[in-house]
Amino acid sequence: MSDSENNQDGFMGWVDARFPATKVWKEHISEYYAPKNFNFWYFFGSLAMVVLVNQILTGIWLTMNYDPTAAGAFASVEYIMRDVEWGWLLRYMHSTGASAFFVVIYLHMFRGLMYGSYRAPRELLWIFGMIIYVLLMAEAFMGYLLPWGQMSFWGAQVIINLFGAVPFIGEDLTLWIRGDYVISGATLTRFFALHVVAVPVALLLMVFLHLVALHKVGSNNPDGIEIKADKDENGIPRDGIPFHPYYTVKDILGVAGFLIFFAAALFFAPEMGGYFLEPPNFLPADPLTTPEHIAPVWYFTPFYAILRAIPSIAGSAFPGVLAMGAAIFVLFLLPWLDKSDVKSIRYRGWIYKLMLTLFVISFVVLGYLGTQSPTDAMTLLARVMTFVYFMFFLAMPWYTRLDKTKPVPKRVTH
Amino acid sequence: MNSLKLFKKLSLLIITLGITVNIMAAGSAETMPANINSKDTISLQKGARTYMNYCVACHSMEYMRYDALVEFLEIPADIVEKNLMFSGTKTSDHITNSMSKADAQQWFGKAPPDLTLIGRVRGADWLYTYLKSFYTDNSRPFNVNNTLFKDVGMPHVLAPLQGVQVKSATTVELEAKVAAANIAKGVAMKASNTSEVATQQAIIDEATLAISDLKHNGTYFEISKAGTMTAEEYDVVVRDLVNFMDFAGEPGKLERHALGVKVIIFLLIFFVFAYFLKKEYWRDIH
Repeated sequence: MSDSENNQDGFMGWVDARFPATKVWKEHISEYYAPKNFNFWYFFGSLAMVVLVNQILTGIWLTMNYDPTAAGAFASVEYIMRDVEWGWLLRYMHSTGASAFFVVIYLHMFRGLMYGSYRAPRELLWIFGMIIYVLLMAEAFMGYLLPWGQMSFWGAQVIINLFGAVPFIGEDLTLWIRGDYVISGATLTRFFALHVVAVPVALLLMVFLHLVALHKVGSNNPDGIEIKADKDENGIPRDGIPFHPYYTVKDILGVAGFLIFFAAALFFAPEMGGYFLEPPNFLPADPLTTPEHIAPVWYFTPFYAILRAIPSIAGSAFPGVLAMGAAIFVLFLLPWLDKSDVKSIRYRGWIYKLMLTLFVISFVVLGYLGTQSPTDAMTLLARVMTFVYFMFFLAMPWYTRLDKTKPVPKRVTH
Repeated sequence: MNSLKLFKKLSLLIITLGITVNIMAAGSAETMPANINSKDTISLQKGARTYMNYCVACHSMEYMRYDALVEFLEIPADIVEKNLMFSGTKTSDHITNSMSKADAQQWFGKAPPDLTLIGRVRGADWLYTYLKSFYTDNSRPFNVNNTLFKDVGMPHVLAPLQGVQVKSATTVELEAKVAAANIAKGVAMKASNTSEVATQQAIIDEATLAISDLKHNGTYFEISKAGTMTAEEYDVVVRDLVNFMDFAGEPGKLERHALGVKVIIFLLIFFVFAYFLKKEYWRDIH
């Protein structure tokens, strides 16, 4: 491709006269200037794209052999695993990919928390990202029903019943979601439609908007400095380097590293000890037999633990449901809760560092507790951790003001 | 970014992942290790034979075809057709049986489940322990109960091989002691007699410990009427059978591992090339 803007000859000239191919390529790839000091944590955005593509491609091929009926779903998954050429590989790539998606997204979000990537002018970028996260949870939840195993059925039962806790309209709401009085073939077919068409389309749109917003405001970096504030005589940020080739070759390295871990899980531990594929899900859904212990898949367990930690009021689990919703919603408000003068954790004081550490601990501990059967001690711990989780956000306007920050350098550091 | 730091962080990630998985896998003190070997084709073949002789009449493996026995267990197709097929007419048929679900429900209280995936649901150790834990209990319809799966509806189909297994006299005595102490503890709790509760709890703890010792040294059960096999021979039969059930859960497991090794070797080499490519491009960035 030509670097000269005046080149109107040849094939690309013909195309450019009709479609801004070269312009888009330059603006978003070869002359999109990203900060040169990206570190390890900046791999996860591109990795999320890789996993998204993996999910869509393997999903298309799985759909070719999957039977979205209550009578045929379970057997069709085993048919894919045994009789379809490379079907087992497609299925494991998809099931391992689902968990990998959340690993990557959680690390991507954590990067945002560390370096203040949600701060002005990146509020919309953060909100689009949060919408992607919520869509991803819906996508994963509905996808988990499709194998029609015991955990598919009973996990969906538990989650859908949560909507029943909403006062007044709860019962009607669950009926509307299920399309039946119990989870049945009607639920399966609508979840299938949403999982393979509606949510993926919404996801792709939001990913597109996420990238448009990113390229409008430019990438943040580990120093939390706006590189656009210091441009050279050609209008190029002094601390910026073209995304291509520098970050394309670097992201290839990241993808290679990620794929090593992904392949290790996929080929040697696709069940991941019961975390990625739960053992009871190898039993076909049976509405008459409740499994001994119903736990959601690992990526939902922090929120599930918050739900269980909140005591019922007057026999209604609604407060727990509200708390769970609030735990996700509060993340949307992050750009306005943070009142610090600086963005990056590098120039913040000890209070933010401590709060972020506590937040991570609370998230991981809640995640663990969500996988376990509750005991009194665990419920108490879950309550403490829920408090810690919310304090990270709710006390943020105060502790970020109090926190003694360090001076931020003019140029990025290595 | 400096590559050493990247490696440090990646290795930290995988260690954390490894620890979590270990925690998840541990914590099943009730079962004995099955020690199966998925690569032992002879063991798998013997297990298939036992399954077809003793199990398949009630427990189908409807998600698997007889072909899998030919393809993965290296059993010749004509032997499968002549000796191992009790249903269907071709080796491409699924491993089903002719028992109707309604009849089975009446006979056993619950229709015997399909066992294609039981290895992935329960795990090999559980299945191995289960098949060794049937004992005589005259209060049950088939005069047999199971310590791992209380009040199971299934008769002890392998009893002709193992013999009649009963709880040993010591086991019965210790379990009676625990039961009596539990009642006494309940009474004491109602009367708020804390010292008595503690005494009874001590008895329970001691007896429970002794019972778990019996389980460990293999004297929890004893054979009251010998079968056609010694205890050691029976263990081998059960191990082979469990090996086969584990195989049925995912016949392509070994193929998956073999491909995984190749893929990871490729990715490691690719990673090295990607690393030097990146390094070359980034030489002029300071």
